[in-house]
Amino acid sequence: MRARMRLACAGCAVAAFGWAPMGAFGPMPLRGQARPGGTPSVFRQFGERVVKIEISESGSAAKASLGSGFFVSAGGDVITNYHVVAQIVHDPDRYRARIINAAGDTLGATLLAIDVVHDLALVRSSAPPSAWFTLRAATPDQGDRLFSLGHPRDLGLSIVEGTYNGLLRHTLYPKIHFTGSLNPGMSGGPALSASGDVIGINVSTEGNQVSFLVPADQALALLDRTRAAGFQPPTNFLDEAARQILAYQDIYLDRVFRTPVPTVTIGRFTLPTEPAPFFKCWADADRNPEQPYETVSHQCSTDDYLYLSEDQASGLIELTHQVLTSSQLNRFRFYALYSNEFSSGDSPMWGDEEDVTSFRCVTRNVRRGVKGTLRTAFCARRYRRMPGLYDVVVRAAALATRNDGLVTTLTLAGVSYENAERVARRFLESISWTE
Amino acid sequence: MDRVILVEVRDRRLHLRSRHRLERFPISIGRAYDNDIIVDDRYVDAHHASLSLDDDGVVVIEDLESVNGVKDGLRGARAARIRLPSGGTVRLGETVLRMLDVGHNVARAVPLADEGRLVSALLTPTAAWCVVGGSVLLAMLLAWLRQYSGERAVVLISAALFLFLGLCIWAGIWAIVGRSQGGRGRFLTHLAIASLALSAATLWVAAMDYMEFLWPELALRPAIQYGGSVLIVAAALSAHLGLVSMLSRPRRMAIAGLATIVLLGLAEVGSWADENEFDNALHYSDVVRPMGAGLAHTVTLDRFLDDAGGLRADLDSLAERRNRATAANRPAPHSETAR
Repeated sequence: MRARMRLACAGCAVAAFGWAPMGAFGPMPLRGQARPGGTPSVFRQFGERVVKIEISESGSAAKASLGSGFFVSAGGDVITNYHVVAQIVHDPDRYRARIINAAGDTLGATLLAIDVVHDLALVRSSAPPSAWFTLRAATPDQGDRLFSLGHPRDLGLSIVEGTYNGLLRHTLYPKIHFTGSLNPGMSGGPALSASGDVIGINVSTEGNQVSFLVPADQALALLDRTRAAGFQPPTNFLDEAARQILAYQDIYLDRVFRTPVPTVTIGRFTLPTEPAPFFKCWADADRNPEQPYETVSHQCSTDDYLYLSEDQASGLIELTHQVLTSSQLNRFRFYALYSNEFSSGDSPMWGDEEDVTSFRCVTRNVRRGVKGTLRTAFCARRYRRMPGLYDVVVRAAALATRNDGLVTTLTLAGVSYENAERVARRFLESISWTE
Repeated sequence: MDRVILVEVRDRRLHLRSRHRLERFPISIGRAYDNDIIVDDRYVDAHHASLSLDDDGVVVIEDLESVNGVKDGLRGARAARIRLPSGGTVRLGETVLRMLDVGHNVARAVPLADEGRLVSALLTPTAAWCVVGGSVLLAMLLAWLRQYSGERAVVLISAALFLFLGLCIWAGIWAIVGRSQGGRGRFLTHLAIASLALSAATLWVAAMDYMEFLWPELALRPAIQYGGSVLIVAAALSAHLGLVSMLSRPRRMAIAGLATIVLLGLAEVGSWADENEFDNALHYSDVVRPMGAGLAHTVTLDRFLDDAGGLRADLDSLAERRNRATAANRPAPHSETAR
């Protein structure tokens, strides 16, 4: 799986020490040209509205992680990413945030609202800003220049020029494709048009200038929520995060494995593939002549997930099929191989004792009419501090009567139990083979 | 004198060294060669003690002012003069003397069948070797059936050799125990017993795997598997014990059963403790066997998802239990003010 990097920066100072310029030449001198709408002018004009956000553990003086943010109101409202402040949400007793403004003053910060689905958070600074952005709807054209501001690797406020490449299609939640280099520490910083409109919020990168922004209208929606009459910050942000995730997943999981499920045929097995448009699928085969068997694998996964904490994600759905065939092994030896492929072991998901329970499993031989019988295990664990959220792994082996076998695994991270059962049912129903 | 009295000379493990008929008294005992009974024990004096009859016709032993003296019975204290009725014992240094009338009662013979019919069959070398060879072949066959990435004869042969070596060590220990108890070693019979037990255990585990495959929800299966394992191990231990000791059959079966339950119980407790440790692994029933689904106990998809739904309550109570435990262990939050 390809790794997508969130841009919050833990241990950036350490990273910066180990960082040296490449090559023997000094930096090229740049001649500043102050033409209106150019990069230097954007930086000068809007730089002071961007802040650094540091998260520190109350027992230790130095910061534990950092990100960026920007003022959006005269009252000191700051928009940033949820993943920048996630530690405060998970452990409010241990962590606190502070804001460092462009002048270098350290301000207190209070978390007001979160939007886990779009990876946004709103914090209120203890002092009003001298300048702020006004969020409004703006739709650039593909190819328009954007300027992203933030604190890459704690190296000071920086500006990155890039291009707007439209909204990504087929994602779990809306995202802007920004062609420009975002780096850890820039999370939560604004990406501006030349006229200074906030177009998006820096959120993640896949490297090589492939970066992503949260559309600014989501930040506006979050800000509007806090301005509504009678708004009160949630007393427990973790419960609020769980509530938002559960509400959102009812919508997107409903689209997973909808009939007619697209299928792929491998050997005599007909298997579900691309459960929804926001999945990406890959396939490969292992046909080593020294081995008396062949393996064909097919994998689909969501390209995207919701960030919950360093070890936890929601919305990650993965589907893996493995079809084994052998003409050389006798049935006993083939089944030794088959058992080994089906064997239990480490889960495909991270997690530590603080966050999740151990897995519990149920195994049955499940008959599905003419579609054949599957040896099926349903394993689940609960998020300890987010009631209602579970990680689920469904793994099944086809009980076929020839020298071939299918081991298939469905992994669902951070879903409600009802949704897990619903998706598992559709998944198991969409597998069949010919005898 | 019409009574005949015998004296047995035994070492400190009570193994018989020599037996003497006493036809005249007094009798001298010591390490010197002019004694009537010569005892090879460096803790015995050259002229250590003498035996005579008292007025009642009972044998009396008198200490001849020896260095280590004469002690009463197997654990008694030193005395200058000790009366020894039939069956009575005394100690001289590390040697034990036992006095016996020729009319002393002797227990009935232990019937040969008490070793068990199966074990009696294994006493012949041909039968024993057949059993050992069969077990090794079975282990090789199973190892071959478990191989799926190419044929590797080396693996099979080394598996067989290691198995044979392990069995030999086990049987060797029992043979040594048997010899130390004064009996015969009977290495080959011990080897055959161990081989037989191992094969039985292997087949039992394989049968239980099939059972797990066919009927994964059978809650009784772990108990059945445990019960069967206890029976196999206890039977093997009891057979080994029968060869090395004179214990009666019910007694050695009780000892073997108890030892097995304690041993396997410890293992069970260990795995139960592991189960309650946090880990990141999936522990499901992952056996698939080449039988198709025809004989298997199957459930509908609805029923399966119902059963899966039952996990939820378990997980919720597990999470709450853990949360309570953490809350109890957590120190009070820092009361430090923001800087």
